[in-house]
Amino acid sequence: MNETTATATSIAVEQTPKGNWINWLKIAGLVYLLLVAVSTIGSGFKLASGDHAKELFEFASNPLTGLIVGTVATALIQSSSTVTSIIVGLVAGGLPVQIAIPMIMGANIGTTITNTIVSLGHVRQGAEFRRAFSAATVHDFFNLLAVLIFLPLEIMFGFLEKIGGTLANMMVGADSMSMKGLNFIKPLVKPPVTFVKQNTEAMMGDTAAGILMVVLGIALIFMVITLIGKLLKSLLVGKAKDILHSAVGRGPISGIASGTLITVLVQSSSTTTSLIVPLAGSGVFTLRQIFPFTLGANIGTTVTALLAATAVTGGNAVFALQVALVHLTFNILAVAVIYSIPPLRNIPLVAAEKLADAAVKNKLYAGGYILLVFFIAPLVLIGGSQMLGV
Amino acid sequence: MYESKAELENKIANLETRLADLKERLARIEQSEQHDAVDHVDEYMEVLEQEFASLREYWPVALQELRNLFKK
Repeated sequence: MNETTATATSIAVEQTPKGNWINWLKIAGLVYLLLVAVSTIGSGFKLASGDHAKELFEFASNPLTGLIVGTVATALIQSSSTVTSIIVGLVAGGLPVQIAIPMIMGANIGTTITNTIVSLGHVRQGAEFRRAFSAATVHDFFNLLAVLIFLPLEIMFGFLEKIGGTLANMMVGADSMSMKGLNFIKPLVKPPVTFVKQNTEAMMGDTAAGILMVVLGIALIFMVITLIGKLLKSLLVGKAKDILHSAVGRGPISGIASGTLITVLVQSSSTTTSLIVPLAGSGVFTLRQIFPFTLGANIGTTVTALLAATAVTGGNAVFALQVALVHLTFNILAVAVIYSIPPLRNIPLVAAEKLADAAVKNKLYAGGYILLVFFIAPLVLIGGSQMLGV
Repeated sequence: MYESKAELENKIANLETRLADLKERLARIEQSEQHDAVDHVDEYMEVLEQEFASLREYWPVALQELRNLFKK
């Protein structure tokens, strides 16, 4: 039995009507655990940092460092949903939104590593590898371009922060810092978080208890999102097929919409973008045809952070929602701006094709590219900025 | 022998109609292939779990190219 079969067996999904009910109940339970985990991180971070949350993340106050932290963390975990949920939890605990925004952008870049690795599986088939690799890296180049355009604008004008703030205030009420409209979540989530808090505090000091809560929350989010992804993939594969069938031959808007919808359903942009790799690799879909699907994945993945934000209560609830809305706004704007301007739209396509051509001639380019973009360049940039004291 | 302007316009119109028809037929074939590929999406979903298998597939190829690089 190989690794995959073993994993699939461990989360066996019964496809009978009764089995489906049980699986949907499992998903409801896992979503509840996700909310508890986010709230636990928020409470733990607040407990550990007191009023010094900003100072704790001083090292990431440089937007470039925040971006790189988000990129590398997501590339290592291979789940932007996990990282953005953790960020939402940290904002709930006092992490400033300005520091969180570049991290969220970094998560967008980091998540693209998964489909690029998946495309390496086609390495022995020349033309197929070219198509698969370009289908994977077009997502990378789009996200890199989006950050290149929007991060400097955000640093200069803070427009995403302002839009997110306005939307969050509109949703929760400008006169209130607690999420009145979503108050039904609070009584559900608070008891287990209070239980964990009281017990950890009884065992150790505030700081240690807070750190333990953050670690527990992160571990729980990681586990929950992995399990939800596996369950949803098995349960909704038929639905994903229907959505893809309905998008065939319908043009880019339909492609973006179906990419968004599939990602919302499976709660993982990596799944959507990786699914596209073999479809493009076979040559049945062209790079231009699959491009909109990958953009939709960027939008769809923001749902997890929004869901996570609903778990947050108290004074920072509005900021947690704000950062989740920044994630959504950033991705919608990036798609709207880059895809609607043809010269910009062509940049990721051309870059992906050129890199794929080079990677077919010399396979080392493929591995070198992954190492360079996701690990070496971020570390060099962090090192450089620390040395220069920027 | 020269063709009249009207004859040429007529020929172009016919060609354009024929071309549009061929394009439509090609699009239908392509879309049919795309629907067939989408029908296999569940198989691809299983492959997605094998990221490490992809790396295992890549590693010997990269190693060979690295050796070739140093042989030159």
